[in-house]
Amino acid sequence: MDKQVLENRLNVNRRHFLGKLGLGLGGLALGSLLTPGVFRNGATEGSTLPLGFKHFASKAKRIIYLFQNGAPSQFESFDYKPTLSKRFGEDLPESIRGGQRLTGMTANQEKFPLVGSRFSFNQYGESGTWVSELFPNIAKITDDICVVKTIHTEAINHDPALTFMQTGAQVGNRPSMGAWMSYGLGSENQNLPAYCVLLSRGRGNGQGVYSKLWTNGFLDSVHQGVQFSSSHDPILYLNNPEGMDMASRRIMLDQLEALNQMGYQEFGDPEITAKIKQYEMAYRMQTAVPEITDLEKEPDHIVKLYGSDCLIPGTYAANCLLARKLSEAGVRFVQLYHQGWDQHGNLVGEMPLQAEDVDRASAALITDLKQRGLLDETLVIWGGEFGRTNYCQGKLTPENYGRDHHPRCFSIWMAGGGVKTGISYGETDEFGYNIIKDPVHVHDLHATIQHLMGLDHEKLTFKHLGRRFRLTDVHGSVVHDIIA
Amino acid sequence: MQRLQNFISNFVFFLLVLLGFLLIFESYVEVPFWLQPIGRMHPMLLHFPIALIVVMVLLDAFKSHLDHTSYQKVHAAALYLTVFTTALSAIMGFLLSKEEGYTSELMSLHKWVGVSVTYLIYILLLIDPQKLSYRILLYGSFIILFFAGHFGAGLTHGMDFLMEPIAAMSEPEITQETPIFQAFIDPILEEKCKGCHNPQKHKGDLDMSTYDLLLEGGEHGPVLIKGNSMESELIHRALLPMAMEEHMPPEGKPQLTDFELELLTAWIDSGADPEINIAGLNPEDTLFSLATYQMNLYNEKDTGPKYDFDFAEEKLIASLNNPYRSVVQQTPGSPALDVSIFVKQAYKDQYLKELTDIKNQLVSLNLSYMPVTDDDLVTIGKFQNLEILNLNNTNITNEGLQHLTGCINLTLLSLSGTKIELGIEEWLANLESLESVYLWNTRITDQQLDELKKQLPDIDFYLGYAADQEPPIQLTSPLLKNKSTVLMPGEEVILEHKLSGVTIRYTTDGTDPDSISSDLYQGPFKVQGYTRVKAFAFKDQWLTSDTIEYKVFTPGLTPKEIELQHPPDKEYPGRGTASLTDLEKGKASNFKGKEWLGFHGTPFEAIFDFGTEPAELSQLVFCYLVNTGSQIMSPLSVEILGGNDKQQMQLLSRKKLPEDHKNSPNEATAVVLEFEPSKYRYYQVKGRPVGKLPSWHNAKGKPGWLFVDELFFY
Repeated sequence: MDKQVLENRLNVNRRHFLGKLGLGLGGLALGSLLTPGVFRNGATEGSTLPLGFKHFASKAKRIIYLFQNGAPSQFESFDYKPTLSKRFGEDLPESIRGGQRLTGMTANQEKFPLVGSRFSFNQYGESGTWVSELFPNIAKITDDICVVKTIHTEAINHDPALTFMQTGAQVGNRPSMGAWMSYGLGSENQNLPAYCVLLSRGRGNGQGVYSKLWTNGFLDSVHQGVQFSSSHDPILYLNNPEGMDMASRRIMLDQLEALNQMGYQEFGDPEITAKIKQYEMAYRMQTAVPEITDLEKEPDHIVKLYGSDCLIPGTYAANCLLARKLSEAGVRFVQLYHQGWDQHGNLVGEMPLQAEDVDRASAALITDLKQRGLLDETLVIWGGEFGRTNYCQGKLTPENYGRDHHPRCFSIWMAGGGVKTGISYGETDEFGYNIIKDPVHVHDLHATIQHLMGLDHEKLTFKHLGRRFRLTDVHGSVVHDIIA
Repeated sequence: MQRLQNFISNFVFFLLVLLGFLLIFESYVEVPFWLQPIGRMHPMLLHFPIALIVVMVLLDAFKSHLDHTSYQKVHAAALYLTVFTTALSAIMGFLLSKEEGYTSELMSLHKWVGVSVTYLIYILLLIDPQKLSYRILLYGSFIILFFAGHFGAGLTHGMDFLMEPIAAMSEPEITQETPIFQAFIDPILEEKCKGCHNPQKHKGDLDMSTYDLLLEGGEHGPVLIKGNSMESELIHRALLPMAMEEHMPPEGKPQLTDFELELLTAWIDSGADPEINIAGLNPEDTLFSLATYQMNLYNEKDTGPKYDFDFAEEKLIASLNNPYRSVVQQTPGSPALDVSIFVKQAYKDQYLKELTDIKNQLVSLNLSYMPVTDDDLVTIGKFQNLEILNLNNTNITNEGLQHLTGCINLTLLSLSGTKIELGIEEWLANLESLESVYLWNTRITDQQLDELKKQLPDIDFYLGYAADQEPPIQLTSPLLKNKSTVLMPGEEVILEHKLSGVTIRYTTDGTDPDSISSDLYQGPFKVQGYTRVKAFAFKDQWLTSDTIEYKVFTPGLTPKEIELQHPPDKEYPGRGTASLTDLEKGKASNFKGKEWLGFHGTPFEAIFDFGTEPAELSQLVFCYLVNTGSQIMSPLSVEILGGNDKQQMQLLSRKKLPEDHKNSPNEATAVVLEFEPSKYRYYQVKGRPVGKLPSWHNAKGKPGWLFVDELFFY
């Protein structure tokens, strides 16, 4: 036992020592020619390209992801299917369903009655993009966005689908998209986290979100998403306690760093350096964050643009405004989650409320970025984790219905960051059940997003457990047709 | 001499073993920077073996003219020198090849030819020079070395270097004007189809060698129908399953890639015009994107812009980076730099001035929100390669902008949120590359913008969102800034509104505030006991907010001990009796929180012991939750009893509460019981829950829940 304690303290045992010595001697002649990782099995940073740079020139520098958590229905938003209204109540033909596996919620349903949107659709803008009446403000900016109607995923339940959308895998141990961006491109503004997460909750049936969605996975902890609080202080405990000024805080941090350095010398745990870095950043955040959360510099009509909800901390509108300010201040990836889009029933009652929460502020964000000349360098993505079924879940009445989860196709939109504007990409069949043209798998979406950010999705890798990982794993191809 | 020869021979042997080793473990080798200069000497040293082997060949050719001993001496010297320099060059060449950018096929050709010649030449050492095999080997090596040298020169000068002047016209560059058929379609056909469909060998009577012949089709009729790829046999056949005999190209032959198929399809759909080019297409067409992609691939162009200025030194870039200033090279292959400066409070003039060191490389500069003034723009005017400049929300004015005339490459200028006004036309006109200018929230009005657009039609001006486009909207209600609705001793109530310039009026007596008689909020105010603060906000040009109510509490008297006569439900035990007086209020949205005690089927009954020297009490505030959807209802009644003996207590006050109805909002609320001032040791509080949920409830008949979080005694 004593021996183990001693070894632990020395951080080395005889085998380590001899192993290292042998290597050291044998390596004298050739050692410097060979990569250090050859004889070791330990994890080494396995990126094939230098980090902190784009791999190639591109417009986008930052991302704001407006995640509509719970999966908004494509049939009441962007994928107009008049056939479903004409064939109201008819059973979904088995030839269309094609053996699609169903969730436990509708698997035992005897019939799958088709149901069209209760809300009317119109074409907007020069592009003639179809948008439902629930999103009047997004309808006004259709010429600035690119609607992709043919995203498809592999999961049929919220947790795996969300995790898949965020990390490229359904199991929850991979780094999130924002963590990859932070890892690949670094932080633009070192006074703020490179990856920030803002949560809000709507009035519809909600699904939870949890910190594994903004995890750094096996990447260094500094790439982890930082969740902002929805209270008055977006970042808690940022103010110095009474009696502590910035100078004494500095002294305190310097001493703490010295102690942490000693700990690092002794144990060599990289998490300690990550911690030191985070303390330093927190110190700088004390000046940087108040400048960002302060609304006083914003003219009144910014509030009108986003809607007065943006004055209430923790609302979607407030988060959109904060996202713009964070992004403007160089935060690489701002992730919003708006919960409450899971309309299994009472879709007609809930969806207008959800849409009301997000419509104005989502459109405002695009307008606001554009009027500051930032839309070209900021990629905005709006969408959920999967689609919803073209048939009704539960009781179908002419007035109300619900929709179950549907992985085969759903709609998202993107704007800015070098995405083509004013187009709708991809087509689904007249039932809105299958894709008939230009499918975009989640992996393809990830590859495209990385491409827009100037990253080659096949080259941004990290070696872990003996193999190189990437956001798209071994899949994904860039959808060049939506890139300007 | 013999010793030297032995030494060289052994040393070369060692080098060759090393070379072999390096080649075997090539994928693991990484050359440290300090060895790189050695590798880079390869192009110099390699001239020795080439020259020396020529000398050896000449020596051999004129052997009969030389006297034997001199020949032997010169030959030995030349041989050892050749072998030595060859081996050394090979090692150096290997090191050099590990540097970036040497990955082509030509490279591997050069490498393997070079390596083999190195070993061959070493063998010369081991053979008797008198033998025929020696001569064969020598001349062989000479020829191989010639090829190795040629390939190597191809690497540095380009393979076409030698014949370039003669063959200059053979491979034309593909531009946007090149017909797509000639540039991409015909080469695909050439590679995948014409092997069997050419004038010599036209299977199926189909000859694809020219556009006209392609249109003619074969024995089954036309293979291409303009504008309809799905009906065109050419596409149709390629899409058939491989197993079918009609599938083209036949099984076993190189197949069309997905991309090629897409390109062919798009071209046919666009009308299969032999002359159409990228320039003549709409950027939204599929064919445009596909062809552009293919063109860039073909021309091996980096999609980004090309710059002809030098790279900034890595050290310099590193030294310019600090927590408040980020200087980033756009891509590893581009010298262009992006600079952003952050955090207004930390801003210093020198952050901008120091950028003069990279004035040629600076391409994008973001100074938004920094206290940049007109004088600072003199510095920016020196950045002649600057393309993107963001001056949003800085302190600049029209005067300062004149200093920017040196930024002749500026394409995007963002001036939103500044004091810019009309009068910038003249110097904007001087910036010939300028494409877009952002003027939102400046002093420029809509009408003035029209004027600007007329004068400078080549520039896109953006004015963005203006408030007067829309009717006034309603303000949000004032917010309570205190961390908790339970105030600490001495803490005052703080109201706030995130919009500046808002007026707040409020009451604390439970009445609705109005804009005449109610107090104007001028700063934090004190309250005592349980207070219902009602407030609303108003401002010019805005619709007045709804009135909002905040229930705030000051701490009451704390009992020494609490005895619950019925335990709470197992699911919602809170923190036991402590939850009742810990001054932590539960949230209406989270009845699972530890602040709430939930009772089901049993009433709330608790005895509070205030000790032997109790203070005077006259009020109880009983806090509970309403969430009818979750069957959590208001109590039917609340009562308080007092006495110095637990067994003998008298009723002090009792209140019946109104029944909840279907639309009762979910809220954490409270009921107040006033009673004669008294100083008892024990007080008992009883809350009677709803026994049966009312008929409107979808769980009617079941017992209701009672949730309690806090009791205040005043």
